[in-house]
Amino acid sequence: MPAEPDAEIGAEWFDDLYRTHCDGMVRLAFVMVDDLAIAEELAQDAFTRMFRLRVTVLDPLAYLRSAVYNACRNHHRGERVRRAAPASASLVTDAVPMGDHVIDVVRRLPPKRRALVVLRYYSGLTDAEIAETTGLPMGTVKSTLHRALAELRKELS
Amino acid sequence: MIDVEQELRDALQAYASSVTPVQPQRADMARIESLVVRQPSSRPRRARLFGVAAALLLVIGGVATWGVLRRQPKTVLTPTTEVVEPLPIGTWETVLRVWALDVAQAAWVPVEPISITDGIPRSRFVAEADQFVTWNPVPTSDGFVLWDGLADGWRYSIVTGWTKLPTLAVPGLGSDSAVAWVSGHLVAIASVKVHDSVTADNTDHIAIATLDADRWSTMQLVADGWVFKPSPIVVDERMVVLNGPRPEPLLVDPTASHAGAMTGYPIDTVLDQGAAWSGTEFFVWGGQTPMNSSSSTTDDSSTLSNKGAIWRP
Repeated sequence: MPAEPDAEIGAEWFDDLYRTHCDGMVRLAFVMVDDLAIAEELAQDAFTRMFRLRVTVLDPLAYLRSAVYNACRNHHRGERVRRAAPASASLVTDAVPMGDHVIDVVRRLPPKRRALVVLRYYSGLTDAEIAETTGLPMGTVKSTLHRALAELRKELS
Repeated sequence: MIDVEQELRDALQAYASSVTPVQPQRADMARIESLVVRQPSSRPRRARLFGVAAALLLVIGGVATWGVLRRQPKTVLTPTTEVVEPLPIGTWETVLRVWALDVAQAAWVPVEPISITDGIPRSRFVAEADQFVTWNPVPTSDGFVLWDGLADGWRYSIVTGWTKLPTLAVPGLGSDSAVAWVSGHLVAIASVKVHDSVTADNTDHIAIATLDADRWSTMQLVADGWVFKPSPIVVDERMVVLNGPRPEPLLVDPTASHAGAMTGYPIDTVLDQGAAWSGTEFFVWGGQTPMNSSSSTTDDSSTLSNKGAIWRP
């Protein structure tokens, strides 16, 4: 016989997931967008999507990582649109100033390359995992990372 | 020669550690709820699209209804519906307006409106003869609207007006449920989770229930596995159910309480296919496959398809 419905199972499961991974997802978003407040917003958005799909996602961490990546990508797209528009107060952000030369170089990378660099060297993902997370073909992941690394070597040497 | 890769690892770790996120001890459920239940005014483009889609559905439904009635001229009132955008008041509130087509007068007449305070804007509607039902998830006790769990709806009949349907409990937080009229009976279908006391695991099954004398029968397990947001298409006395995780649809026979995969299906998308039953042939086309096969998300990284297929039972 089917078990009786228990709405609390879902809430507890989600709460555990949130407590375990919230910090990591905020930091992942932060190294992609440089703004802690925005990173927290994007991570919350990822958890919101997770909450809506918690029953059907079998690998929550992979899903969260992918959702954060997509949220950051959308954020960068929005930034491009805002930058193309006349200057306004919305351009002012709380970006954290960084004196680290390596980070400065990473921040100058195009958003897509930067995201892949972050997933590889911050999250420690393999090419296959990055392809899974970003939805990009494996060849694109490899070539993009190769170009990014070459650019970083040139800048840092 | 510097080790750029190690430099990168160290720098990124240090950069990420340079900030301290404000992490509450528990998930900010109120905030998450507010994000899940977005006000339409914060998404004007989506709201516009929703309005256009609703208007198109209304026009298509009206034209289709008119065509059917012209072939079988009777003086009957046939309902059609339009879901009005939810009011921006902070809680879910959907107002359902119904018009009926009076064929004799060739005019639309308003039907008494109903306020569904425990429903959600994306109600589903299934009609048969002179009645139809709306079908919605029931909010949980803490106010969340989930696509799994409890569901109920309202039945509208020209003769009796609005009556509330009994609540259907989807066991073990399975998936969103859906209803369809099959041979004059309202049948509900959902993915359910069944707790196995021997293995202590929850296993996925597809189950159906039938509404009889205003009571839902016990949900009968008809197949192993699950479907994501089932959308049954009635084919004579059976239902074809699309929406993954397998590409091939599921053929459900409510009378026999049995379901089986429709083998030989030539399309490989698993979600959001379009489908219709013409009375002699079943058409299906399009759809998408999420990039992450372990999930049923439908974000913009899915693989799309423009293939179609015809099934002749």
